[in-house]
Amino acid sequence: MTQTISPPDSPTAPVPGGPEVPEVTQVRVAGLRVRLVPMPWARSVGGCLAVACGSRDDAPGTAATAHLAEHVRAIAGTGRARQTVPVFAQTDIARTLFRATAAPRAAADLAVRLVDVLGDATVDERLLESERMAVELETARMDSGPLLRAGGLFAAAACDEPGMDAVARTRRADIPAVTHREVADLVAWGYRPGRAVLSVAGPPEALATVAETVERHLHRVAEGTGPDAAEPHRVLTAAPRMCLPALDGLVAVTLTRPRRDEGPWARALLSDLGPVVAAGVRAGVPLVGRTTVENENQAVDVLCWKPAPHGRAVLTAQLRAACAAAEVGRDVLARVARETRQESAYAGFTPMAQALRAALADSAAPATATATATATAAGPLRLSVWQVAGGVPVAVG
Amino acid sequence: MTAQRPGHAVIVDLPRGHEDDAPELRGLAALAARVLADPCRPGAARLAADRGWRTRHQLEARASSFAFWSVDDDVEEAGAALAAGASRWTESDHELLARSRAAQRVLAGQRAGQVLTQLNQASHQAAWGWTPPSALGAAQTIANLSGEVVREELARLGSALRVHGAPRCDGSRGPRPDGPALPAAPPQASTSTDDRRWRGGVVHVRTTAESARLSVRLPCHSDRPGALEVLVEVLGSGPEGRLHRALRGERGIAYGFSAGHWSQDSTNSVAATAFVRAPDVADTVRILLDAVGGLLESPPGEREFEAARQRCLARLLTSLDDPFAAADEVRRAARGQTPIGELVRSVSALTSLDGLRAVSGRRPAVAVVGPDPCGRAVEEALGSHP
Repeated sequence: MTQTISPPDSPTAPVPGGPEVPEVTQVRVAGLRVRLVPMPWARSVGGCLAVACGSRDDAPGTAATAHLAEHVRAIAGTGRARQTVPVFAQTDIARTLFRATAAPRAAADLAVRLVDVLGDATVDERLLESERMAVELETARMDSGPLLRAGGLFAAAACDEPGMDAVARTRRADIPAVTHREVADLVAWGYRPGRAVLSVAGPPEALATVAETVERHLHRVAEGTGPDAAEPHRVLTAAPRMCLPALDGLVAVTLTRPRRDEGPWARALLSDLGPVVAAGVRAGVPLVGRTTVENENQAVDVLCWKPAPHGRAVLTAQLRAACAAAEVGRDVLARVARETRQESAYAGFTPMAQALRAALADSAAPATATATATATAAGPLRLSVWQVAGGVPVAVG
Repeated sequence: MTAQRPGHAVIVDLPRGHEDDAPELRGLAALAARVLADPCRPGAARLAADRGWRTRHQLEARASSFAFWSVDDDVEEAGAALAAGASRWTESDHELLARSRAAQRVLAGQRAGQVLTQLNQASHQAAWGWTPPSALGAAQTIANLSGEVVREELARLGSALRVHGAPRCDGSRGPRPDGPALPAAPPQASTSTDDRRWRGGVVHVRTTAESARLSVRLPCHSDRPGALEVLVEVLGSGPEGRLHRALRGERGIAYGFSAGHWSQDSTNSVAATAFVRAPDVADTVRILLDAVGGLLESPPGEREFEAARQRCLARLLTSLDDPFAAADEVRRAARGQTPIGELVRSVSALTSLDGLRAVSGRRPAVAVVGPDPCGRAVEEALGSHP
């Protein structure tokens, strides 16, 4: 079953009574959006480069190209910053994130190090080969644990934004086949200043020279390429549906919503105290896991149960009823609102967290009127109940 | 904009850790913490859940600490709430205890099967000749943790807890420690290292996996605060360090690798670990031995040292920005441990790794968790290693 709901609250409403939110300033440097977040109490500096190039940008038949690109670009650069500032990277569906922390007096080095990730947007063939096995072994975890792919499987069924299962569908066997040319082409297209956001958070005095440093360094490493030069249009294609017979019998509830914020009502609906989890408890089946799959504009929250065959009908009936009613008690709403307020303040406590938050404040894709409007609109929410049969999710009811 | 950190944190210390468990009652400290952390019963956990506080629990060898963080200034109520919860035991707690015991038994089993747990235990066995018991206990010892045992333990803990909090933003002191002092943390190893208990050797835990995890550990002398931390950064757990260059950059043979240091029984040791394909185990053990041993024999050059020192400072300063960091610092000072802020000053003042050296004549401790041929491959590699 699938149900479209208008939430009783605005997903973009600020959390009342929260701590003061640092003011973010933004400048554009050669097309790169640079965001600075002053945190007077901070002892360190956190930085994040969000590049709008993720697994959904893998060309058909070349899964893991973006992941390989991440590994190669994360260790790019040759100067002092390469040695003093470690970078941690992660490839998501629509973007790749590179994060680093540094002492305040090394804020300029941190900025240089993250700009080096864009660099001249090339791929060193030797580095690619030395990283290939690392990507293989990392991906092997999903091969041996198919439940790790469940989020992508259900998200792709619930939401038609291309690439919802782009990370989940990667297999170890795909990786040796990806060529240097394919990685180089993706990097040349995706790792451009105009497709990236660089955010740095920390003590104000440490941020004073960041924009200037970025400008100087960016012009040096990307000399001649221009900020948004020759950015060819890349058409996202929906890949064939994944088929995972190992997950047969798994039951899920999905909530499809705008990426930026589900709002307290939707959060309460799927919380451990909410009616959906309670429905599973009534059916005698505990929740086995939850995840959120985020694409550029949409996100899908996924809750999974693994009932015994004889208990499946009761569980799905209870979940359908809970989703159809979609009622959240006032006490649960109030409690979840309190938790959200605390969690939001806690999760944004560190410079690294503030840098990440600033980098993801809107899509890291090139700013267009359409993208902005979509990302900030409080679109409708869609609840669905699924069951895996024959390796694919089937809507129940 | 305010220059003050948002939020408030306190840490409630309970004076008994997993090493205080009697042999037949292994897992008692963990189970007591599990009961106290259950929001179903009155106490600090319920208060935290009601108010949405963020929480953290750490079970240590000689202490068990609950930390609470709130954006509001109400978090100081946590100490009294925890004490009240510990002193209360009702009929309904027996049912909760049964659930907690079952959950702990499951967790202990899962933990024992985890490859990183196995690697840590094997490394300890190789270094010291014995394996520390699980902090969670085993099925039999958990079964011994009756309602009476747990009730008495909670009462003991509730009457001896101690609250640590950072000074408030207005400059006044945080909550005053209101319990007996905890046992002091074990002292850091010093130059007069007593390394008599170091054994060294190889321990192989057999698995059916295609891949293997390896740990190579060497004992060392260190007489300068912060030097071990910098040395670990020279080895590195990322692409900036020697391990990345040796394992991945030059050979492409490892996905994961890390470096760390330990201080136990007044002996320091430095270790490097790697996650590799099983056929690469022999090469990897030689590479790790060369990396760790070479660094202890020959200090890094000025540029490499300075880069590692910068990375180390960044890591330490980043840890000071954790929401619990200010309260953690107060707690460390109260327990006689080195506060991170002091370590930052020590690392800032370091100009070299002089004074750090291997303990001569000691065998390395090598642990491997992987398929059958790995153990033999390690022995052969060690036999042919200079």
